[in-house]
Parts: sequence; C-alpha cells; structure tokens
Amino acid sequence: MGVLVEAKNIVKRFQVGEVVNTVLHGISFTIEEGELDVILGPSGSGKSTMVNIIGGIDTLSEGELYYKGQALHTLNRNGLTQYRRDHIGFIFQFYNLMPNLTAYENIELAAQLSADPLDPEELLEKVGLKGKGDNYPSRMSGGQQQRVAIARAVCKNPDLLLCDEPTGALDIRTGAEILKVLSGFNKEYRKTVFIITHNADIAQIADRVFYFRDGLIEKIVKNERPLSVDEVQW
Amino acid sequence: MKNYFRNLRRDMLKNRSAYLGAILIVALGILIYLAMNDFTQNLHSCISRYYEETEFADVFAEVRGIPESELSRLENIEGIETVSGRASADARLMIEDSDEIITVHLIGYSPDDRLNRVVFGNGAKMISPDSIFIGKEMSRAYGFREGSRVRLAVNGKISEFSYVSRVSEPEYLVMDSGTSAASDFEHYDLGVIDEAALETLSGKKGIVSELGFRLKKGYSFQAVQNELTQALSPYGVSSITDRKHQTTDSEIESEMHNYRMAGTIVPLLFILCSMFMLYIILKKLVNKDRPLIGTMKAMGAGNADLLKVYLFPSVLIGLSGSLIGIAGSVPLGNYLLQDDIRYYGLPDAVFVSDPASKLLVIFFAVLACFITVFLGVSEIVNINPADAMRAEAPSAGGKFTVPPALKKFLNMRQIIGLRSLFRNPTRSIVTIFAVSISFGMIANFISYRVVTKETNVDTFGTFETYDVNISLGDLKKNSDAASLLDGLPYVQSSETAAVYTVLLRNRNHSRYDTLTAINSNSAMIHLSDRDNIPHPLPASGLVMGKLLAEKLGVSVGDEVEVENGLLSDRSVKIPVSDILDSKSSFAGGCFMSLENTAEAFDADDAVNLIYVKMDRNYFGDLKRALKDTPGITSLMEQDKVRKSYEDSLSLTMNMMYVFCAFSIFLGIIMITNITNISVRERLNEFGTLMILGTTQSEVDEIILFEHEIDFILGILSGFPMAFVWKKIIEYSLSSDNFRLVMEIPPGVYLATFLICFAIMLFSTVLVLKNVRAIRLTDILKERG
Repeated sequence: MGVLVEAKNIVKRFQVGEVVNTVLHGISFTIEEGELDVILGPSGSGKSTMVNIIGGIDTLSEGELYYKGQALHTLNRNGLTQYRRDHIGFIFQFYNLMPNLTAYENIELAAQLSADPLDPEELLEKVGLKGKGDNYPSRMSGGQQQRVAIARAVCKNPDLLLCDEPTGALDIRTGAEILKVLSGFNKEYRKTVFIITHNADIAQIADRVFYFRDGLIEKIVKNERPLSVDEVQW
Repeated sequence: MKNYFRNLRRDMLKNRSAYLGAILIVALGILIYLAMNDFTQNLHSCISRYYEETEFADVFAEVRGIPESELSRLENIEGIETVSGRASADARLMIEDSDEIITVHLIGYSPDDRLNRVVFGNGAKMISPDSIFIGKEMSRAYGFREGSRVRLAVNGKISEFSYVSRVSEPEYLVMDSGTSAASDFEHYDLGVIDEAALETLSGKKGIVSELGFRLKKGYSFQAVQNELTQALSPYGVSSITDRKHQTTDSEIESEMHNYRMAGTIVPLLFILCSMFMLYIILKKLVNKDRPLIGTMKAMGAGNADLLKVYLFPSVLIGLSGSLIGIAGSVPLGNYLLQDDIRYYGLPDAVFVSDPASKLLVIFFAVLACFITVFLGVSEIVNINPADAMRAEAPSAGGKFTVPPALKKFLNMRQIIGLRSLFRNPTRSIVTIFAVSISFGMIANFISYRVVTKETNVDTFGTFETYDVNISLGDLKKNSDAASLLDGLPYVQSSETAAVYTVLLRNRNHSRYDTLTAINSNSAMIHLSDRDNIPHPLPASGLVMGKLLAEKLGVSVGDEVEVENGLLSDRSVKIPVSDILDSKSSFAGGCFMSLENTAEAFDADDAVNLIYVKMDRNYFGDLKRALKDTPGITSLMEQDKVRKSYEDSLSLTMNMMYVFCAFSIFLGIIMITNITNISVRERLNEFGTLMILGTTQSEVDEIILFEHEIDFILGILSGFPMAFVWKKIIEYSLSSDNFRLVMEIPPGVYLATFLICFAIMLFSTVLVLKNVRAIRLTDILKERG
C-alpha cells in the first residue's frame, strides 16, 4: 500500500467580480491506495472543491498536488483530461447517465475510454443489473441508475473512485445497497474510494474520515474497525 | 413577483443572442414591409397627383392621322366625355461632335390641350414658336440650359430651336424607342414645341395622331372599345388601349405590384420565422424553469402572475424589432422613391412616412410576438407544483434502435449523436427546418436574379443575335429599308423586320400585343423554347407566345383575327401554327415571317426595323454613315441595349441581393440559435462525458455528427421547401401581362448548398465554443 494522492498546502480562491472568496485555506493530506475514505462536513466547507481538484476537473490556486508522485498542479487542460481518463472514476449525486445510451452502452462507453477496461457485462452483473443492460436510463429507478453509474465509473478500471453524495438522491435502503456495491468494489478490486457525504452514519464504513470545516481539514480520524454496510444502523 | 421577473431578465441576458436574433428578424421583416409599403404609397400618390394635374386620359389611341376637326365627332360615342389629340413626329437631334443617332419624339403643344397635358419645368411657358422643351434626362445628358440652341432634323430639313426648360408628359414617363423596351432617355426622349411649329415641320396641317379620351363616369374601356375602333378605323389605327395597358402606367403599376408583393411575402416570412424561433426559445425556457415555476406556485403565485412575467419578452421583442425596423424603413423607402422619381422623370416629391402604418405595425408585431410567446409559455398553466419541484422524470423517448448493420460502422459517440436525433425529434425537426427554410429562400432569391437576367438580358446572344438594331420611324418598303445599308463594307449581313402593335381577336377575347415580323430563315432572331429547342418560323401562320395564347384561348390550328390600321384598313384571319413557351421577354407577343405578313395584310410598306450583323469595330462608321439618313429613329448597339436593360433592372437585382443577404442573416440567426438551444439542453451530458475523460475533440465529434445529419436532412427537405417558395414567388410576381416562370439552375442549388454549409459551419463553431466554455465543476451540482 502506498500513497496514491498527496496534497500539500492547497489553497483555492474564486473570484466573483471584484470579490475574492477563499474556499480552501491551505490544506494538506494524503490518500492511501486501496482505502475507502469519507469526507464529512457542512455545506460550504470546501469538501466538493477539494474532490474536484483531486479529480482534475478544477485547478488549485496555490499548493501542490501529486498523484502517485506525478505533479497534477502543473498539468494543462489536456493533461488533466488524460489523467481523468486513465485514473479517475466519478460517481455523481444525480447519476448523469447518457440518456441516449442503454445501461450496457453507458458502461461500455467508459470501457471505450480506457486502455485497460473491465468487462462491462461482468460489472453489470456485479451491480445487480444482469438482464437489464438494454434498458435506457429513463426506464430505470434512481437506485438502478446509480448502480449503472458505479459500474460505468469502475469499468474504466480507475485507481480512484470519487463519489459526490452518491446516495444523496436515494432512499435509505437503496442508498445502503449502493454503498454495499461501492464497498464491494473497494474490497474486491482494491480501488480507492473517496466519498463525500452529509450522512455521518456512512463514516462507520470508512477506513479514514476527513472532517472539513471552513475550508480547512478539522481532523482526520482513522477508523480502527470499519463496519460493513450491513452492520451499520441506518 | 418582482424578483422572479428579475430572475427571468437575467436569464434573458444570459441568452441575449437568441433574443437579439429574434429582435433583428422582426426588425428586418418590418423594415422591408414598411419601406416597400411607404415607397409604393408615396409613388402611388406622387403618380396619382401627377395624373390628376396633367389630366391623364382613360383611353389612348394612335392613328396614322385624323383631322383635328373630326375629334369632336368622337365625343358623340356613348361613354366618351372628352377627346384630345395632338400631332407628333420623330426628329433627329443634331449634337456637334457626336455620331450617335439621337431622336426626340416631338409633340405639339397647345394651351388648350384638355388631356395628357405637358408639365414644363421651373414654371416655364411656351413663349415663342422656336421654343423647345426636352425631357429631363436628355436635357441633362446633353447639358441643355435655358437659351441653348437645339438643332433638329425632320424629313432631312434642319430647324433650330431655343431650349427653355425640361418637360414631362404622363404618356411618356416610359419611352419605347422600338429598339429597347427599357427607356434609354439619352437616345430617345420627349420634346415639346409649339403646335403650329410642329405642323410646319411635319407639313401636316390640322392632322393629329395621338389621341386621348376621358370616359364618362360608369363607363369602362370595354364599353367604348368596339365603337371607338370602328370610328377610328378609317384613319389607320395603330393601337387603342386603356390606361392599365398604356406603357407608362403598366410599367409603374407592374413595378408597384412587385414591390407590394415582395414587401408582403418576405416580411411575413421573416416574422413567421421569428415567431417560430421565439416559440422554441420560450417553450424551452419554461421547460427549464419548471422547478422554479412549481416553487413559485407552491409559494402562492397564480398562473396569471407567472404568465405576465413570461410574456414580457414578447412586448420587448415586438416593440424593439418594430422600432429598429421603423428607423431603417424611412431612409430605404425614401431612397427607392427618389430613385424612381429620377428614373421616371416625375416631379420632385417629398417622402412622407405614414405614422398610422407605423402604429399598426407596432401593434401587429407586438401582438404576433405576444401570441407566439403565449403559445410557448401556456404550459405554465398545466404545471403542478408538487410534480414540478421533483426531479422531472426523464423523457421515455422514442423506440429508436440503431440497426446492428449500421451500428458496427459507428463508434459510441456517433451512436449517442444518432440516438439523440431520434430521441428528441422536435429539436431535430426544428434544426432541419431552419436549414431547409434558409436553403429554399436563398435558392429562390438567387434564382430570381438569374431568371430575370436570363429573361431580359441574356436573351441578347441567344434569342436575338444581331449587333445593331435600327429602328425606322415609319413603315417602309422592304427594298427601301434594305438599301439603306448598301455600300457599307463593314456590314456583314442585315435583315429587315418589323414590330407592330396589333389587335388580336379570338371569339370574345381580344388583346393588343406585338406582332414581330422577321425573315423566315432569320439568322438574327432565333425562336426557341424554355429548353432552348429551336422553333423555326412555319411556312405560314403565326407563332404565338404561350401567355398570349392562353389569354386569347387559342390553340395550334385556331385562326385569330389580326388588325393594325397602319398595315391595312381591314382585319385579317391568320392561323396559329405554333405556340412558344420561351424564357425571353422578347417572345411575349407573336411572330410571323415578314413575307407572310406583307402578303396577309397586302401591305407594301411593312418594315420598320433593320437587324445588322457587322464588324463591331466599325460602329462609329455606321453611325456616321446613317447620321443624316432621314427616317431612322434610333440605332442601338446590342451591347448598349443589353446595358440599358441591366441598368433598368439594377434596382430589382440589387433588391434581390439584399433579400439574399437578409435570408443568409436569417439562416445564421435561426440555425445558430436553435442549435445552441439544443446544445445548451445537453451541456450536462457533454460535461459528464468530459469528466469521464472524454476529450474535447471526441465531444466535438458527437456534435459534428449530429449537425452533419441535421444538415443533410435540412438540405434534402430544402428542395421541396425551395419548390414551395418558387410557386409563391411565381404566383406573387406574375401579372396580367407577364408570367414569371422560376427555374432554379443546378449551379444555384450548388451555391445555396455552399452558403448553407457555411452558415451551418459558422453555427457549429459557435456551438462548439459554448461547449468549450462548460464548467465541469457545475456539472456535478446539476441533475443529470
């Protein structure tokens, strides 16, 4: 197990008109390979901004960010696209599936972006959607759509899965099932999973929990004995 | 609701290009409508005022000569109130150092003229028998000033006059010299001298040839035509016509008709396009704002409150478009009016812009936008707050499946593009429609220019292939006319011919038109149909233009009665041997061989034209040789005739360029805005793909693929659209005397294709620019 991501003194500022708003005030941390980490924090604490920067869809204002020792803060737009393509899987709160592709084709789309993809058919089965590959997103429930989104993210065979409120739009039971799938991928495929959530219960399944407040990491708590999803009292 | 309105206003600012586009399209439509409307109204009132001041007659006749004393007898014909007549003669204007054959059509002036009165410039008066007044354009061309000496040759005798001022007369606003249907005032214009002086020049005392008639109230031309024709027949009737078919009035009316039609159809289409675009914009806006509308309803806002907010753009667009259009219409309308006043030599007039029409236009523009916007936003009424605040269920979409055979040729991005087209058919149809309507309009506007040029200008070189056209004032013997060119070495060949105005009758149909008599094996006039298939003159009988044949109800084999008082005192029956549907404007009347014509009418003097083929380097020599030859009214080089046609058509042609430019502009606005709306709806989809690691060029590939298909389908549906437009233009611009047959040549289709391709490319570049501006961090926050 090594360090997957290393953040050093990251500052992020947004300029709106003449007002400069600092969202991240110089935060530093590392993400270990194969971990399942959870970020908790109130709205506006900077957790989504941090994940966006790690995922290469936003840039930092100051500081340094390394992925397996490779400096991300020096990459240009194309370099970041290649980084996302090769190493990152995204899971969104509202699934963001391609409405014009079937469930299978959505997963296959990710496979086509990767040099070393996983088998879409196998992933479809893993997320419990065997036989539903021909369905369009419009004919699937929220939980099913999120499963497809997870399979799509994993299919690229990324090292890091970034999940922004993956259960935020789902009911408790479905949310738990989704977490089980994510946890399963973490364990079975040794993928690093980074989950942003408001739900403090989810922290119980994490290896480490990052507590964000006012653009700073308040604390990072290592979970000595992470629970399985089934063990958590939702 | 104030803040909700603010929210909408900000949304409009974000999409300002779409709203500005709609405003500009409305403005263009209104500009064209008002400019044309104001122009035709001003021209109509200017010409009506002029007709009234000059007592423009209701009926016109031209005879070989009638004693003035006989005129009062014609007033006994039931329906005729007043008769007026005057003498006329063509005189050669002698200009020093000029070899041009310049003819002045002299008419005799009497202060007692009751109809078709002349108007002298600058309030001048006929002060002495040697005074002469000349038309505005010829006066300007040769720099005549008050007191300038003007030398005229009539029947070989030279007389000198003193120029007083310019002159106009309602019958001669358009001058037909016989060599060019388009007025060429530098070579043929009006001149007015004292009645007695003209009698002395022509040697015809008390004989008049140009007659005007005022009809009693309640009487029409048809009511007096027969009796008048009979009464005048002993005096050699050349033509009898009503005001509608009089050269000046018919040309001005035809021009006003064309402007009115263009000024109605084009703006209507522009406003319809604008309404269509507005409908789409507002429909999409309401769809996007569903959760907001639901929230507002949940907070207690009523349908009326919300509708009021969304109807604001209609007032803004209608009002802004109208004001911009109105501002532009005044200079354009004034330009058109002044150009026509100059062209027709009408008295100066001040352009009056009618405020009532402006108010009406603003009202209708706002109303049209209001109705469109209402249709677009009426969905607000059906929005249920509870449903609207939840995430909208994704559209079930169609059941389009990419056929496996096709699928293996497409990559996933192309499949996304293809499915997207079928899953949102409205969006695709709207884009396809934008391409097809632009294609149809541009193709027709370019073609109209091509067809007008083919009909009027290109006819020289295909239908008429002479180098010089010599018009003889009076009918001459064939041998006399031919001998005029004897001994001129540079003349390669010549043909005598004639153009007469004849009355044609078939059963209860009658019509004045031209009969052109040419050599049976003419090498100068080539009768050919629309497909350029030659129609040689038959051994006997007439070749009749299709429109004329239809007006007379004549088919091949029928006999028509043909009458011309200058040729014969009696009418003759001539069979129709062929009916010609030709592109050339020259082929409107009917044709017969010169030999058959002379024989049918038993006329020795039957020639009034000579067509000449010659070495073009010797035009000057020909003019010098014929300069002092009496009996020649005008001599026109074909190139100059062609140029005079081009000049007379330049305004119409330029107008077509303007319409073309407007259509291209309309195409850019519609295609760009509609494709942008379509892409804006899918920014989340494109953003997600980019987050997943799809490169910019791969996302571009999806959009390009969709645009390629939209474009291809747009062009394919553009052909039927072009056909519909073709029919609309043909219907609108055809008149009683002229039938427009539009043809869109393959070259025009190709040019239009390239123009539409450029528009689509431009729109695609703008759309791709929007996609490049996607902020990926925002995508994570949005509902997918």
